[in-house]
Amino acid sequence: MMAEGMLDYAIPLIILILSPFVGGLLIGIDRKVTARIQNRAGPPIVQPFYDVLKLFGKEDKVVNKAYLVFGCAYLLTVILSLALLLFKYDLLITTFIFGLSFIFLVLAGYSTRSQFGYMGATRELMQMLAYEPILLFTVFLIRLVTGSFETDAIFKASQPLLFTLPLALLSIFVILPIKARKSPFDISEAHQEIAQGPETEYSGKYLGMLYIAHFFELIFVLWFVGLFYAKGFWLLPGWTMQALLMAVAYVFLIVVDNLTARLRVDQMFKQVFIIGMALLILNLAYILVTGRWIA
Amino acid sequence: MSLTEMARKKSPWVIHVGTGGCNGCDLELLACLAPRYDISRFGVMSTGNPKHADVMLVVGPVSLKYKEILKNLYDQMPDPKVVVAVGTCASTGGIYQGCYGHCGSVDKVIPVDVYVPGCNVRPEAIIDGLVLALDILNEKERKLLSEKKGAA
Repeated sequence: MMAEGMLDYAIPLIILILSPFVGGLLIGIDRKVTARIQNRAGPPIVQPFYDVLKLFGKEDKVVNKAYLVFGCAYLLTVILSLALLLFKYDLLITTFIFGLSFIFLVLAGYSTRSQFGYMGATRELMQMLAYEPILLFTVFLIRLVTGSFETDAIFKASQPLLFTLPLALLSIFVILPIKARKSPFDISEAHQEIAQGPETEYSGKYLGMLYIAHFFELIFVLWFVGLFYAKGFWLLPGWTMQALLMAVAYVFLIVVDNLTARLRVDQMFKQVFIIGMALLILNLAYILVTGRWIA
Repeated sequence: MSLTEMARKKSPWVIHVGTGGCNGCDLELLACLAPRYDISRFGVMSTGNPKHADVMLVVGPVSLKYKEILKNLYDQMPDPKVVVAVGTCASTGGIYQGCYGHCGSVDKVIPVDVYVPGCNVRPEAIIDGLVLALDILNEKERKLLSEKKGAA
């Protein structure tokens, strides 16, 4: 009994420690696959780690202290939100803290007095405005189906979420490129037009820190998608189905990233908001009509 | 070789600066990023941001209007940094030598570490110059560290 209780904490802790490495490898695989799609050789898959290590060995040019604080806050809140998700804490709090991490990045952009930072931060805010309601409504739908905001309730539910909330999962797929900063919604750090958005003024190890935060962020996003199939299927245990769903989401991300060009802010706002909300409302109607909701 | 030095050699981020030449070398530089010569296999990433860059690839002779901008860009790059003059114009001034609107080669404005001659310069030559620049990157860092030790 004691050992089982320990295991409940040990496994999420191990995943949390491993997640920057896995996230970095995933980004490396993404770069390699993208290169192969374009018929290039591409960098090795450990390239993100080389980048981060190099950045830690560089001089940091500090513009002001405020944006360093916001950068650190961004990293810490991302790690905190991932930890809350892994330790099966309240899903609502987890999404709010994940949203807070984006707010810190926006503040970092606004505090640098660079027009690229300003522009990137404004776009980042617009992106938040587009995806945050959809994420929250999805969490509310999960509450309707499982009867609790606790992440644990998802694992204890009789059916995986995919059967009750298929369209909500689709709407999560719609906002996935925003959260992973990929095309067509890589508007906030469109490096061809506005340098790197909020990250423009960062250099040296502080930029490396932001990169590590991106690794954590990717794992958070994928893990959130994985929650939608937390039950075993036929002979497979629950975690393989979760991993499978995560893999599907990641392949979807890479393919969409390579297929599409960047949209304008207003185009992104219209498309994401209208499509996402329509899907969620349809899903709400579905669970209300079939009576699968728990008050 | 320490871990950081190895990583530095494997991930040079490049800023590409065109200072007002004929655009010929610019196109060859872009050909480097395309599938045939793909320099991203060395970990090269083309950033448009001097604060993230390690290597500055300067193309073309420096026009008088661009002098200040080039100096500004160079100052914004964090150490260790390397400047590669790509093409004959950037190395010596080329056919713009003595022209009234130009101050000639790049090394009259900022210190240059690697010269890659050629008009147009071949993509192979650019890759050669870039690989040469990577060794200089680590040498420069060692020099900076020893200077810091000497000062302390």
